[in-house]
Amino acid sequence: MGSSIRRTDLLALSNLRDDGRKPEEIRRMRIQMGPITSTAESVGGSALVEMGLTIVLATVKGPMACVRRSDELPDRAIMDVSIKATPFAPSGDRRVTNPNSDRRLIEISHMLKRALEATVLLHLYPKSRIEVSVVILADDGGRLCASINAASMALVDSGIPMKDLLCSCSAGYAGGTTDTTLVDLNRREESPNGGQPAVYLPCAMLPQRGTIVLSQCESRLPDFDTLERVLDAAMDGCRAVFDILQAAIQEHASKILSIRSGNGGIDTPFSQ
Amino acid sequence: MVEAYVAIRDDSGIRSLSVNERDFLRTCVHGNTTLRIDGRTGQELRRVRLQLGRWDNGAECTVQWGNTRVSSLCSAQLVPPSPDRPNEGMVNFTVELSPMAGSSFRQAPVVSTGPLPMGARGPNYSDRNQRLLANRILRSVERVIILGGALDTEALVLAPGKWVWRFTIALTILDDGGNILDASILAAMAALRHYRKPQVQFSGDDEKESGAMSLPTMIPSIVKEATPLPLHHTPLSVSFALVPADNSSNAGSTSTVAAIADPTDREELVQHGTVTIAMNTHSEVCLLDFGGGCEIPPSKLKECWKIAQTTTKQLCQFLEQTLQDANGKAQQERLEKLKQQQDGKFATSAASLPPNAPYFEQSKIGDEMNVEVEVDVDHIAEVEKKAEEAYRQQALDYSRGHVASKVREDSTKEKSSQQKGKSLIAAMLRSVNQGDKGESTRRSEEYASDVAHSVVTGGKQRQVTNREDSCKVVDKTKNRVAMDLNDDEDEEAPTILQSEFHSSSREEKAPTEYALTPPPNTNDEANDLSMAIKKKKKKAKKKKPT
Repeated sequence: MGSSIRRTDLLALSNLRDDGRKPEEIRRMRIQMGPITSTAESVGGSALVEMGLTIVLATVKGPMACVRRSDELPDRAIMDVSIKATPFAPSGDRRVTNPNSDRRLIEISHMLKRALEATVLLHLYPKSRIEVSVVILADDGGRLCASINAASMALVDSGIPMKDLLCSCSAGYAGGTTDTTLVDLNRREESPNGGQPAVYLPCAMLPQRGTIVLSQCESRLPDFDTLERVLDAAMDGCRAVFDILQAAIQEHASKILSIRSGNGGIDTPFSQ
Repeated sequence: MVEAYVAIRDDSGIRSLSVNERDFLRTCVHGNTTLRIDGRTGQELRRVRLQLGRWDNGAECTVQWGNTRVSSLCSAQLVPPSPDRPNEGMVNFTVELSPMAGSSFRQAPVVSTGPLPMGARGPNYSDRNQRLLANRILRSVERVIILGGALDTEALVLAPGKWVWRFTIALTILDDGGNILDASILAAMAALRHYRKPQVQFSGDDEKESGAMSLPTMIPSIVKEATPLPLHHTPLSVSFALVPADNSSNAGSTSTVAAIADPTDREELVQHGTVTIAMNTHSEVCLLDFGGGCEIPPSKLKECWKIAQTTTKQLCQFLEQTLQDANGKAQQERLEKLKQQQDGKFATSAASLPPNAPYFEQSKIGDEMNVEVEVDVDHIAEVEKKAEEAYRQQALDYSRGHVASKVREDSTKEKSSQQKGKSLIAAMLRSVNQGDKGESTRRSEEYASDVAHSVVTGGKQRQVTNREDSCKVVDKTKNRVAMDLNDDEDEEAPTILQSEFHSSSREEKAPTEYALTPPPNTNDEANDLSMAIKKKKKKAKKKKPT
């Protein structure tokens, strides 16, 4: 983490990032749909998403009755979203944070909730509750993006209707000598190097509709043009992620079809 | 007085909106030209008013943004740094959604980036939504100020590895009229900009071989001017509410979404999403926070940016202007204090002061000084003799003797004191001396007995108060050495002189000239006084060459 070589030096030398990717490449993604068998009582759908070395597991329960009657809304469902980090997932800095009250986790769970509220057709389930739980098993940067992807895949797996497949990817900016935008930052690139915090813009969009659902950037950018470029790069990353997610859904669906028609076998989860 | 329309707040936890109002607000926004309830267009901000305050180690700012009111307080401490970050200072934020802000904030917890201060526990039960809102504000403020690079923690180091500054910025939401986030960021930035860091001096040895840590003490800003914080830039934010056009409560289809800047609390109820953009005067983007909730085409986002650019520039200019004014006022205050203090050092010439109240106070303290002497020792006669001697010495002291006498008390006690007259000098001293110790010895006698009475019987007010004053004075005289400069420089200086006079025998102290003003009150006294003064002058002049 405390490298004295600046990110820009590496890029200038070989035009590759520190994990060997080109600036506009996203990390390798592996998706498992339904690693946790869905039953009627507990989990309705689940998905395990790996983006590079970041591994996130999401489960969906519902739609079901609200715990408290005062919570329910008369015309739509409410979403309960919680994101937790396991103790063995390194949280970045040396401090051990309480997953219940870590304000960053609370914040990203709030963001995820808002992003899902924009996607899921909640008005089909009035007075009910959809619960989404996300667990971060390994964190190598981009946990918000991976959580969003995992949550949307879990929703697909559980059969809850959505407007579009919500995809998310992050983008950054390596200023200085090389004026390139990076896509899908890992933890090294996210963390502040030197005194400067990294330009890190996670973004979520509905690719087939072309609309943005979430975008966040917290460091200083010289002007709007740079911001536009970074945002465009993030949207390209989201479209790339969408291709992968769509392929995974189709593969999973064909597998289920073949099982139901008696042809295929059952894979144990986590085994690929 | 301008009449203000106060909207009745909704009392339910989920702030609900009637269908009529919701449709009305929607059509306001989506009409041909956006015209909102308070007459603004979609891009105008409400009127902002800032109130800044500063004191020795802190600054506060209260922002009144339309109906929203947020107050922030900035203070600092010197602490040893955390061991894994020896070269960084610390900044802690605390956000409190006070229940006075709105009835829906009853159950909002206090969120903070550091350990909560003592006694700041919120309610045990906390509503999840309130917690999320407080958290969101906290995170946005933290991101804008720390992560956005406005305040560099590495610049807060005093002695690397030993002492760093720890800042605490406490935000309290006092009133929610919509758009709390922008008001909070403005309040926090203004307090940081207005704050002045005091200079620090190290007491004790700084040498490493001593082993003990030298403790730093902050120098009050009167002595040495405090410095502003090294803020790289001042980001301020603008929030937009995204209001969909269609009437369904969910964003069913891709409907046109309008963005209005700086929503009021009613407009916030209609919104489906919010975008916050923070920029500084150099048009650098410091924060882009689109929290979701509804989908927008990217072109909409870009529109918002452009609007944000102009509005944040206006805000920044306004903030600069207000800060300059407030700083000017604070500087003036400081100069005045400095002047007062300097005047106090030379024990203000009597001519400059009116002969009434200040002298009365001075003399009062002088009396108590002597009263203390009396009360301590039971041998009243002996002490009296000492006091007489002291007065004689004092008569020789030209400067001392010329302090103008006190007023009202003299007139009442003068008759009794004159009965005792042993020498002209003594008589003269009794009438002239500002402390008038002869009388005070008498009075102390009375007090000594009266004290007992007053405590028991609950006697006259005056005696009781004198008793209290004597107690005070006991403490004062014990700390002769440590008498710091107070605001009441006038009172302190003479007492210092007196005490020194007691402790050191026969030392003539002539710090400054005391001009002489005869008290205008009683005629008797005036006559005596003028006579006495003339005589004393002669005597003093005679004495000096010998």
